[in-house]
Amino acid sequence: MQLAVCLLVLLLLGIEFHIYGAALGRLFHWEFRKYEMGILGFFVYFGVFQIAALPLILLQRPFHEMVVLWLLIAVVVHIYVFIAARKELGSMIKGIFAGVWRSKGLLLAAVIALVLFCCWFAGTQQYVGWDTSYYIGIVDTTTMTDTMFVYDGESNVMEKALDFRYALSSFYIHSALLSRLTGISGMLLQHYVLSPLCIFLHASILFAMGRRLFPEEKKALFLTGLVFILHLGFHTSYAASDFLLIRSYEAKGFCANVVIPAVFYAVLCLWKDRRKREHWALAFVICFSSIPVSMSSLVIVPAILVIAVLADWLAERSWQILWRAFVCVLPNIVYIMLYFMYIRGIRIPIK
Amino acid sequence: MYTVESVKQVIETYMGSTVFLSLFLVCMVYVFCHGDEKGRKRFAFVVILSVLFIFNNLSLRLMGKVTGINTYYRFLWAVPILPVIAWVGTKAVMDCRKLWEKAVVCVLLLTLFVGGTSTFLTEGSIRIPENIYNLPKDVIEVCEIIEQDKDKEHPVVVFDGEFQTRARLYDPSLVWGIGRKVYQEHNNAEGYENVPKQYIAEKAIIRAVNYGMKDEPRRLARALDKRNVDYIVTFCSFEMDAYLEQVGFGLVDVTETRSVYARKENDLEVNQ
Repeated sequence: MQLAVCLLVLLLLGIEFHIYGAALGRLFHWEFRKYEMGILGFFVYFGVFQIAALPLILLQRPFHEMVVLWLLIAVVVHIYVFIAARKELGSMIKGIFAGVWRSKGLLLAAVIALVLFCCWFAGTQQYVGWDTSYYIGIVDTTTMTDTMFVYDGESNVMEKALDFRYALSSFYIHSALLSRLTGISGMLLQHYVLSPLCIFLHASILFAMGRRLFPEEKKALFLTGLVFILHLGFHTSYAASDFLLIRSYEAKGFCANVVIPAVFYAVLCLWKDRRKREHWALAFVICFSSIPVSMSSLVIVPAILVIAVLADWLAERSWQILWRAFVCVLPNIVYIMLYFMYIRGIRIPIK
Repeated sequence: MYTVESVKQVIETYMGSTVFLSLFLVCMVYVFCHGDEKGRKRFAFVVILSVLFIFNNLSLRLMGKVTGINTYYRFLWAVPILPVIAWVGTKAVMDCRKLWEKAVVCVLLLTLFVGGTSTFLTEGSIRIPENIYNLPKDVIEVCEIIEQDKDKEHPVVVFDGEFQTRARLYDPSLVWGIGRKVYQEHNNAEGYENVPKQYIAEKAIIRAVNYGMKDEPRRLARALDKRNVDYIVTFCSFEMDAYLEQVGFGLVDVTETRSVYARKENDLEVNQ
């Protein structure tokens, strides 16, 4: 029964991401490709979640206020999409099914089977480290104590100050929210919802990359499958593959396999056409939501974007892209400053 | 976590015994040779800037000061090793005209990666979990024993090292009596010479629950008092019943491998 609920939550999250992606596209009249919508929506969803959660975390408000606020936001977004972007959403769903139908065949079946195998593999691994108990502990402690980052995630002991290594990212608070709404424990949610979610998103981003690099869908599918095969052979300490197949439920797993590949995808788009505003919007949304998804993105994400844009600038000398890139990494700069203040001893004590 | 000394060492640890680094470099040369002029320029600048800003020992130390040197390996996630190899691999396979050519290249790729020494697909890794929580049965049984016995919402429990992290996943109401830092840095049966003063109590508990040492009942009793410990979980094979009885803890129940002891009411005077 609990597994069935987890599967349902996974499905609903997939739909939610498309709704949030469609909402953003409609709001600013941006046109994204159909296969980009789920990826974009994931980042929009977590970006909006962070906007709601971060002030409440910093003010040390009770967790149930966060739940209520998020439900209100969700209602507003859904009503907006239903009224304003119903057609876009419909055509997007139609487009996805049409794309799947177009690519039908042995290759598609093999890639889907491979991705599902990886989900099963990740779900059955028994790795439990200190980090595992901390991260899953945050989810359960949040629902149990009705507080956010007030208690230490692993030991359950009250903190002296908000720990900005974790409290600046609302990723696990989101899991706690799912836990509160479904009644499923943090352990099961992380293993059976977040873990496959990370793997599916990784596959989606690889496919999107493939579509940018090759004109044919089949080649994009082959590239996706090949990367997954390579992942299965890359079992070393701290490799991104390790965080995909063993620790995909951790925020770090999302950083290595969703956020960073998404930044690469945005860079690919920018290198193809840096005048298109949708490409800059994608880069901005990914950077903006990189910290909400994982604190590990703090320096890595801006570093990738800055290097990619500087390389482009050195090759073409376009000043405009430097300014736009600065705007994209601005949220990360703010987070770096906050984090720097924290490590210099400026802390928010627990009330 | 290993001690990080240089970028070269981080890369070596990250790549392990795989051939991915060599393959990646070969693929990079291919990408460089087959790109257009603009692409080549960008590519060259990306490599130069990456080395200049990130992959050098000075940056390693600087990043270490901000985000911690042990997390530097995460910058290697920013090197698209597998997508680049897969891109070249896709071109190689898809450009083959005949089906048997495609099949040969595919088989080569599969043998290279899945059959290597660093594969995830080992005999022990393909497994069916024994329960939905994917935790050993013993962990669940221990948590259930405490749940049945406890008279406060958040009892403080000390576990042996292996159980501590797992029990936390099953029952979030349990409070750890031994912190992560002490377990990571002072988990041994040695004395207290190199242990900071604030960790001595926890170290005394580790010696008992994780190593079965029975040589300092008074210190252990004081440590358990200081940490407000309500339950002790340790290996049955240590046969600690009589020893822990001395420090005010009685056996509640046992599982296949672990014994659970609870603080006895009004028995603290024994320890004082």
